[in-house]
Amino acid sequence: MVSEPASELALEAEERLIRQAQGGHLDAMRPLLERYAPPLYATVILPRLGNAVSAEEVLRDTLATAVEKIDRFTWQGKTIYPWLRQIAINKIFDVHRGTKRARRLVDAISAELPTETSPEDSADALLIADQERARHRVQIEATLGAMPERYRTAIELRLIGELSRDECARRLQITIGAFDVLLHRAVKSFRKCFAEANPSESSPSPL
Amino acid sequence: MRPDEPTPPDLDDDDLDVPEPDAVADASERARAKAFAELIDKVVSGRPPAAVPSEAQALLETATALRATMRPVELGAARRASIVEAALATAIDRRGGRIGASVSGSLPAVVPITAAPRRRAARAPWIVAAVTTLVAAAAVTLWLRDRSDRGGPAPTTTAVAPLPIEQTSRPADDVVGRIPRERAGAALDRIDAIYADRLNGYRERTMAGGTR
Repeated sequence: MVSEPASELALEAEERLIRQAQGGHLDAMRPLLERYAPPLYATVILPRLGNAVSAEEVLRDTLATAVEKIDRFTWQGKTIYPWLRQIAINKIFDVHRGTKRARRLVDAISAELPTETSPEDSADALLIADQERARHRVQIEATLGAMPERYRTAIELRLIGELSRDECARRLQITIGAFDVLLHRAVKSFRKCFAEANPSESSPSPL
Repeated sequence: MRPDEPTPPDLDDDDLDVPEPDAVADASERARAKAFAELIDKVVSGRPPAAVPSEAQALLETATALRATMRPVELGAARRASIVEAALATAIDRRGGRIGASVSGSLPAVVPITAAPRRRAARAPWIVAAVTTLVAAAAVTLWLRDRSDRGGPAPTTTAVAPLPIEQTSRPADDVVGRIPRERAGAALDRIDAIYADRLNGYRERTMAGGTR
């Protein structure tokens, strides 16, 4: 994802569309929603839900809430993206509420809230998304680095490299069945290591 | 819990010990691993499973989240457009409902898009009444003018010479004639003949200094 600083022109256009929406022309929000839906999905919602179907539902609900409550948004010369991201985080919180994993997620999300007022609010939306992705990537790479090498290799080959099970098994010189077991244990191990290393960090929530 | 017992659905995986990579797997673990591998196959191929066994859900979410962070994630244009459309429709519905529910209270400043047709419908009787009044006023004006003109000279009538037949609207039967069966497919030829015939009439009229 390429990041470019938000130009004055883009911000002016964004402000104009928001004013129109606040004036009653809700359809004016469409270009903004289309622009910000992909980074919200890819860097905020999916990494925290780990479920593509649920992620799309949360994205739709996030955008609907934003349009519905656009009157509450106050233009301060900054992109609307952090406001949309905050709505998405709240929706994710709602999805996980009541599940067994909620306790840890509440901690993680609570730790994340203060970042909403950080100076990066003034940055371009795609820059914010890139920063968020980079932050998560560092955490994941650190966790992978702390895992047994065979577990790390299994995850890198299959989940990141997207090699077939046959090819992964061939490279590791084991049977496909043995590779399945290795990957299953590797993901378990990753989950455990990540939780231990990031007890209350802002993190992809299912981790 | 014995190692061969299936993972209870409610048990958080973080509570479980993870065996060493080279530890021997029992049949139960191999079966769970195979089922998980098949779920991963679907995720990797871009067809995430709609329903996931509860014992695999947490691990699959972990794998999906990990991939979402380490790999570029695409939300297709069609999918994005569909989600945006649904979101707008939902928001407009919700705001419309709120307006209906808050009639006795303060109305929100924003009028939803869906309210526009209803507003037009409410204006319709007034528009009909205004148009009717204008028509009646015009009729009265014309009647008064007609009465005031009665004392003037009688209107002159102009005799209009009949147009030649080739300059009038007329059937093309004479041009086309009876269509033999073997010429049924030659519609373009017939159209050309009709066009040429009509063009002749047009030329005669324009070259004689007449109007179109």
